[in-house]
Amino acid sequence: MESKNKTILVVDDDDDLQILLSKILKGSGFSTISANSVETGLEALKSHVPHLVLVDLNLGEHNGYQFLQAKKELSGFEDVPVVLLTAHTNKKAISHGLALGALDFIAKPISSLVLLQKIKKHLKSHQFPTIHFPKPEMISITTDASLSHICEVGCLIKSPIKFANDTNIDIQSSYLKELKIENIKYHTVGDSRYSSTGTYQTETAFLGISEKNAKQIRTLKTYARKN
Amino acid sequence: MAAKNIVEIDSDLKEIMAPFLVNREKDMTSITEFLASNKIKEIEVLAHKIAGNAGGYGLPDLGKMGKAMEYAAQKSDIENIKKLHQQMKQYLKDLEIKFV
Repeated sequence: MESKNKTILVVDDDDDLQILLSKILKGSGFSTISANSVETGLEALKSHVPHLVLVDLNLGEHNGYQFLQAKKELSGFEDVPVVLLTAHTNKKAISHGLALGALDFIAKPISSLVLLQKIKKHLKSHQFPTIHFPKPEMISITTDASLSHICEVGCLIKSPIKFANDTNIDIQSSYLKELKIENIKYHTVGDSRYSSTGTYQTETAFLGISEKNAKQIRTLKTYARKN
Repeated sequence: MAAKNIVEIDSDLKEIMAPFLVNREKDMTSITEFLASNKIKEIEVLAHKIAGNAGGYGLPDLGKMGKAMEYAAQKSDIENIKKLHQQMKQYLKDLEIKFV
């Protein structure tokens, strides 16, 4: 399981334990957020939406049960797993925490091995949902590309994207801007062809170029690369 | 002169060990103050913290002393608290860490 890009929220009022847990978790590639109370823990939960929460059962005046209860009442955070940290390993305390929605507990003193094993186990079994669109959502994509040649009817571009025939595309280019044809629309002519350089070559045709711009292109000099 | 108590600790903890030990020395001072003003509940809270975090820093013996002090505080057993306090102070004084 990839720990990179996974964020763990640690809710504990013990600064030394916060430092230790941060050290262990960051050493394994996780990002961490610290909170030292139920209130700041809930704020961090809402603002960061971590992948997992470690919460100490003992939080000074308050406790981890209150965090769990408050989290249950929030909408949209049901999928964030919570693991309790506790020195109290009696069954009643643990059962109460599990009944409130904790997935597991880790006994203090913390073993880094047990901590990481349990985190990885719960991250693996608690993936955030994948949203499927019943109808594909239209999006636009920006990519770097190069202009290979231009003529009065269109241009050839090289890009990492393969286009299907008759795709409408926008091209932004300082060269085209100089020619004052940067606001022209283009559409692809034929499907893109894969080239040996690992890019796709795509013929495009101008849509609605003015005669003035076409004349400008006709009078461009042909450039031959010297290198 | 008391023999040094050499404890081998994972070198990953090297950079966070010094501040941890400084905080434990502060805890020893706090316990002295709490004993003088009969703040047993405060001692229980502090001892609970030591019990919970010392083991993770590679000092399980200190954690056990913390646990014992927590129980003593719950029973208001001042004599035992004092005894454990002395043990903790001596432990920290004799402690020599070898990072491996």
